[in-house]
This record gives sequence, structure tokens and C-alpha cells, in this order.
Amino acid sequence: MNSAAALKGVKKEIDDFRLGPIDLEIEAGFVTALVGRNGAGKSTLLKILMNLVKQNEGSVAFFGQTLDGESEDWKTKVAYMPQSYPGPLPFTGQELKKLTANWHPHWDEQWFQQMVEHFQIPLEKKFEKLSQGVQQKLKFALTVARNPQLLILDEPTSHVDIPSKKQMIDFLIDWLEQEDSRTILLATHQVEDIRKLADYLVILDDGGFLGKYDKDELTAQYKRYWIEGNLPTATVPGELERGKGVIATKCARQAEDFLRKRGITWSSAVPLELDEVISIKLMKKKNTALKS
Amino acid sequence: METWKKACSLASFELKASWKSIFTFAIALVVVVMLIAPIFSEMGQQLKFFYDLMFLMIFIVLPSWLRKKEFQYQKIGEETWGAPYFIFLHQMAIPKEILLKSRFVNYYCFAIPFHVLFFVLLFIFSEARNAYSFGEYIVFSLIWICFGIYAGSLMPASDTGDVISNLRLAIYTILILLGIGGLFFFIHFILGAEGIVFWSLKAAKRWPLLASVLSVLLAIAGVKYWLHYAAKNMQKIDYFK
Repeated sequence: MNSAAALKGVKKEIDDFRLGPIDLEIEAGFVTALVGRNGAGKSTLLKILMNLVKQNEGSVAFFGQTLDGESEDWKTKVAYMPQSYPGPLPFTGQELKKLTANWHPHWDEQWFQQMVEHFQIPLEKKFEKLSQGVQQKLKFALTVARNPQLLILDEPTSHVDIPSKKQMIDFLIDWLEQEDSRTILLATHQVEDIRKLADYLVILDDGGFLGKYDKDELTAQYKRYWIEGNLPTATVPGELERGKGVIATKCARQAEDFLRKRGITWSSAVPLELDEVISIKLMKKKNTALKS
Repeated sequence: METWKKACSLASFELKASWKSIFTFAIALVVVVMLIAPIFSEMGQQLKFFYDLMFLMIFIVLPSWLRKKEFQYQKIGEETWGAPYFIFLHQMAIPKEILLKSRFVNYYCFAIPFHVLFFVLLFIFSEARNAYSFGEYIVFSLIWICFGIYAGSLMPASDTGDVISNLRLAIYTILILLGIGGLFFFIHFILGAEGIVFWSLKAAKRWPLLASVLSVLLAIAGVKYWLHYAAKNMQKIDYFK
């Protein structure tokens, strides 16, 4: 397995907030989505990767090379899109493009122009005069066109209109398909982004690392069954919820074996929605997370 | 040298976006020349304390205030200060050395022309040309322009940021003001000395070569020191924004 980025024992304390310890490998050629509630530490983790925030303990490596604070080779291989720019920028989109393109040797002008055209970004306007959504689209275009090996995106589709969100995801899919080793790490609250893009989910909760999951394997485990006849009196393996003729579980395979052994049949079995699964993972009390 | 060239190219983006600052630059120049011009007259002899303060302000902090607000050092978080534009650039694949040097280039593009023009106008509109030879005045100007480089470089170095609580900031501000005030009070009212500006005039008159060489060496050392400071500071600061 090739690693695009790796964190080993990363810890960070900010006042009374504690992030980590985090041990995580971002596999090259895949999309990893960082999820968690607001304030879980997602953006901080991305900033630690980018050496913008310094960890108290642990190490960060890109493409097998541990960062020592001095080496900068990794910078051209990684492109980072922050949630917002640190302050007002008195530049037009055109000027920002020129500034960005100058410092990124793999800059893809054609790709950039394509995105500008699709999103109808007025490059001649000052960045500050653009709406929040258009600013986001411009930031996105300025990041993806750097053509790195690893894209780190912090909430890339927030504030963006629905059609553009879809276009952004399509652009990312196109971008990924151009080379096998292209990798994306994105922090997001958008279920649709995760559903369409992610191969892996990394869940953070209040600074703690809950785990890294294969998205398809994870969702296959969570199912809701419409039981024919009476519900079993014993607790079903991984039972999350039971209602009128309905049982939800986080261990689908074991639950089906359990039901079959007792001769219980079901009329339908439906995987839980991804947002339900994430909510369950994030909620300490299992039942409160499930939607009726 | 290559990194300085690239730093100039990077700084040019900021300079182009700052062209409107030329008006602030011109107004500030006229105001300070008007305020400082009487220094060489009899009235100036009575206000040495004021001129010392003014020179420190003109050669350390004023050029930073001439920059466009977006590029200035400012509060960017609850306890974090820095230049947002620096952080924006830091998020890109710009080598640290070039990034830092670009901050210094940008500062000098404001500070050095401002200080040179200040001395040219002061020479034209004050009694300086009667009181000092052209050579002496050049050395006096060089002493202060170099001071503007080695002391003023604190400003671009500060773009890399500081984390400081409001309480500590208030305490430091009071201590710095008390320190400067106390030092000036001691120089002017306890020692009864002429003060920093007049000492520099004397140095320019009596030891022109020594004063010039020392000033240039201090300017070179100052730039190196502040670049080193900024690089180390970058490794410490958390850029949450």
C-alpha cells in the first residue's frame, strides 16, 4: 500500500481542546473523507498536515518522507484548499490565478479555464466582491489546477449552489481518473460528497480518533429489517433500534444468521443512509442517532 | 541572489495591488517633513525630545502604516496577530526563504523611498543646507536610512505572526512606552544630553566614515537577524486562520 500522507501519534492541545493521538495513513489513489461534528478537529488536523499548525507530539509524512520542518519538496505535491482565506485579498481572480500558477510547477491552465467556464467565475472581479459561493468556486479552481498528487480540501462544497456542488464532484472524479495515484483528503459535512467520492471515512469526535473505515464495508454492516411476524425477544447482534416490526443493526451478517437460526424472515432489508451511519458512529447513545 | 530575485517577483504582486497607497505615502511624507523641518532652526533646539520620538516613529513603524490595510500586521484571531496575506502565501508551494524575503522586499519598497525622499525634502525645506555640508547631511541620512533597515525590519519579520493575550499585550505596551519614555527622560532631562537625533548629527560631522561603515554593517546584520528571527518564528506559530 502506497501512502500519500501519514500521521503517527499526532497530538495537539489548544486551550482545553485535545486532538489525538492520531495514527492515520492516507492511501494513495483513494479518496478519504474526514468527518465529525463541528469542532471535532478536522480543520486543525488538515492544518497540521500542511505544517500551518504545529503538533505537540508525533510526526507527519508525505509520500514516505517525514517532515522535519525544513524540507519543502512536498509542497509542490500537495495542494490545500482552506475553508476560508485568512483575510481579505485585494486581488482579482486573474491576479490570484497568476500568483498561484507562478508557484506551482504542474499548473494546468486548460483545466483551470475549464472550471472557470463551467462555474462562470468572473476573473476580472476583485475576490472580495464575489459572493461567498463564487469565492468558494474560485478557491476550488485555484487549488485543483495546481495538479498535485494529493489534494487536501477543507469543506470544498460549502456555500456552493446545488448544481455547482455536483459539478465540483464531477471535476474531482475526472481529476482522479487521470492518474491512478491521485489522492484526495477532504473534510466535509456534505453526505453527498462522501457518498459520491469517498473510499474511506475517517471519523473524529471531539478531537478523538474514532477510526478509519472502508465506506462500502461500513455501510454494508448497517441495515434495517422489516420483520415478518413477531420480533425476536432476544437482542439481535449489533441491535441499534427496534420499532413496530422493524429492527436496525450495525452487524448485518451476524443479525441475519441470528434471525435465520430462529426461523424469522424479513420482507425487506435496507442499508441505513450514510448520514445515519455516521451519526450512529458519532453518538454515544445509539438509539438517539437513528431517524425514524 | 536567485531567491531575492524570486522574492522581488512575489513582492511585485503586492506592490501592484498597493498603488493607491502612493497617496497615503505622499500625504505622510509632506506631514512628517513639515513637522521635522524646524529641527535645524532655533525652535528645534527646544524640542529635541519630540524629534527623537518622531524619528523613531518615522524610521520604525511609519512605513508599515503606509501599506494597504490588507497587507498590514493585524489581529487575526483571539490572541493571534500577523499579516493575513503572509498566511495566504504560506498555504501555497512557495519556499519559505522566498516567502520571507518577499515580505522584507515589500517593506523596503515602501520604507527606503520614503526615507530617501524624506531626507531630500528635509534638505530642501529646512535650514539643514546652511547648518551642514552636503557630505555631512548624506552621512546623517545614511545613518537613519540604515537604522530604518535594521530596526524597521522588525515590521516585516512580525508579519509571520505573534500569539499574545490581550492582557500580555497591554502589559508589554505599557512597559515599552514606559521604557522609551523613561530612557528619553533620562537622556534629555537627567543627563541633559542632546538626544539621539543630535548625536547622530554629531557622529555624521565628526566621524563620517566610521558612522557610515558601521551603519551599513548594522543594516546588513539587521536584515540577516530579522530573516532568521522570522524563519524561526514561523516554525513556532500556529496559523489557525
